[in-house]
Amino acid sequence: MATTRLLDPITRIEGHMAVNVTANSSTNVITGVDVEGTMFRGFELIMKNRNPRDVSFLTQRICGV
Amino acid sequence: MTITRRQFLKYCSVAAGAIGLTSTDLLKLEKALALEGGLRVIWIQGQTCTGCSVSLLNSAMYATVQELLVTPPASSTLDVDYQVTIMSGTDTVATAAANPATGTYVLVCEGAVPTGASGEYCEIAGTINGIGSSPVTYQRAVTYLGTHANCYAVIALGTCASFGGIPAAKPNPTTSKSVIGSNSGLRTKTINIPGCPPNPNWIVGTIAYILSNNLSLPSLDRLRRPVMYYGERICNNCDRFINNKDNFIGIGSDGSLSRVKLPDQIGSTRNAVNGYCLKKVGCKGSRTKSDCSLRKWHSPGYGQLGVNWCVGAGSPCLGCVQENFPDRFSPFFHIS
Repeated sequence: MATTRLLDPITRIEGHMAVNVTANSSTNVITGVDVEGTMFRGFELIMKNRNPRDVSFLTQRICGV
Repeated sequence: MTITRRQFLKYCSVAAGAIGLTSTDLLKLEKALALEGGLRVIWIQGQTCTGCSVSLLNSAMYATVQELLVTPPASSTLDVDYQVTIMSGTDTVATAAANPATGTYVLVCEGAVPTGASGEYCEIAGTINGIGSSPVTYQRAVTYLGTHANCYAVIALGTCASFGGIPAAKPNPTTSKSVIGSNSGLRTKTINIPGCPPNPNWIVGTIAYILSNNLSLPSLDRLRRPVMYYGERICNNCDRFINNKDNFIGIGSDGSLSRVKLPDQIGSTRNAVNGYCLKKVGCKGSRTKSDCSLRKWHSPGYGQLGVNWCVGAGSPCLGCVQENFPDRFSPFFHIS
């Protein structure tokens, strides 16, 4: 019988991640894994129509680690 | 993650000058630290790059990763219960540490709060004890943990949490807001520590102030920033300005310079090497209030000031500690 387990949050990474695991509880076989990034800022949309010289100063802030 | 009382006190006394503590404050701090238990911190992250966390971890307070992660048994002072970037537990093991009912705490919010799509642009956990819905959105967590009776202060860390920052820049696709903007009821207990990222001494110094003054908040300006760190314009203490002040007539009330006889080519060796003012190439220092020019960055050790800063390295100030960064400060460069 398939059971699912949501692991959220995943720690020790930069950003937000969750893992959804589906396993067969009688055979202990994992049948599916979904990995989600659970945060969205829309950097691509924010960069539109910006002064190109500004962009490197903003995109460097996508990840601070 | 726990910082021992001894480490914290040692850091604060050696760095007292750098973080703006007087000797009276230090005495009070020692008394506060003698109390049982530590300052419990729940640190949640929204639309952030984790740069603010890394800035604190780069603080000269920690010599090794071991110092930071090994938990001493007693005499703890700063007790960071929940911080997903560095904590070892995952899922419910981790979020159990964020239970607001366990005791009083300071909530540190890092990152802007997306309010579009019912806050679902940022989900921080499957469940957090006391918050009904699953998964838990950052917006809901800020409101729930921030308004909880056990929360006596909210620290909005970084420009994103303080003012919206880059996620809230035009066209603001996720309807991001600052912590106060997302819930105006939090205004009276929120301290904004903007900066992209904030200097580690601003963070440690603010926590030290709260501890040494019976958990009261430091003096705050109109934007709820601690006056001790965000009181003066960058130019007031900038080497480049002082070196060249004979070339200026003065600064107007709007921060404009009335006459500048300086090189205006970005990247020119005269600008960078001779230490000329960068106003003409787009420096926003005259509109920016912080003590970057004195404190500087990348402190090499306990109690020492930093080695350099943006303007010192030849880059114009971007105004990253100000409200409406980055839109109001664009373009960053003026190139003729």
